[in-house]
Amino acid sequence: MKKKKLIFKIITIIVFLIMGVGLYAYKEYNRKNVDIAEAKAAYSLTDMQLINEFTQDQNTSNKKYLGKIIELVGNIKKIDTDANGYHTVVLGNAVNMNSVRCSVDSAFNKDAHNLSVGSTVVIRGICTGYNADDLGLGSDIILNRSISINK
Amino acid sequence: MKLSILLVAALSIVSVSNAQKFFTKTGKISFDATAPKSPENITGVNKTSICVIDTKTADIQFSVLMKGFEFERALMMEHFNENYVESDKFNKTTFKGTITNNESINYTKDGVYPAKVKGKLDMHGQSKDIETEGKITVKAGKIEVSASFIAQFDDFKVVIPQLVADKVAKFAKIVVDCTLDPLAK
Repeated sequence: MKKKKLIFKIITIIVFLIMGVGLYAYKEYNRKNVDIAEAKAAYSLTDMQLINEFTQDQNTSNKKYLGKIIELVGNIKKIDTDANGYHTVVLGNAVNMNSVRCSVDSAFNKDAHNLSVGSTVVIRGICTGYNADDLGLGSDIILNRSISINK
Repeated sequence: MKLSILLVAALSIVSVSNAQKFFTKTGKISFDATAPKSPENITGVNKTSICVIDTKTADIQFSVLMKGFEFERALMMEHFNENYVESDKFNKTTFKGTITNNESINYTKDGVYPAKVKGKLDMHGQSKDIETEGKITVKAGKIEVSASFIAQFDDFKVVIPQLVADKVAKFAKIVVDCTLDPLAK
């Protein structure tokens, strides 16, 4: 009798364990990309501060910022629109060649129409890297899936 | 009157052919590594690729930040970055090559030209010669580049675990789709 009870207990535990693992695997598998609008930024700074850090020490900055969500306050230098209608908001100082290129999240592409060159904006995005000045056009820091934040 | 028209025409030709270099910072490069019987698509797209073409020297270059690839599922992106291409260590993939039939492409005349490209692809710390055929479209002073080629993971020491071998193929089809603007001096 005692033995039966014990076996029953063990089976119950195993069933729950399997269910737990299954649920975790299912959730993990279906996990969506981070919602930038809801996510908290790992770092908040101005566009020029970020540019200075990257131009001074690329390796340290790469380690610090790559893959992280960054919130930038900056001046809109230019807005590029590619052949598919996707926008890239270019932040930086007009007299400085270096800039932060913020590729706008496709879900927020419409919002980019409201932005105007020369105005100050708050942009949150994922830092994906730094392109050194290969073209003589200045170096760029890239933010991906960027959105503008109304504060 | 005639002279002035001629002059304007001559000047406009000069201004078109003057642009020797073309570039973009918003090039689209995507890949498809879906295994034949996979229930889901293994695809990623990068919309912030750099591409430069020098029409005189026939040089063509690409630079792609590996962390800039976007995926449907967060888990795919993490596996891609952490396990397969190790983007913390190797954050950039570059291609440096030449357009081998450059003389048959007229960059000042609108049209679609077949293009042959040969060069070196540097990815995941490995270097490999790549040769492919694509298309160059000259339209209203811009250049559209489209091409696709296969990259074998073995060549770049990218290891796909047995566990996901039914979903992820042993190679990726890489598709290039970039529109280049003239580089103003």
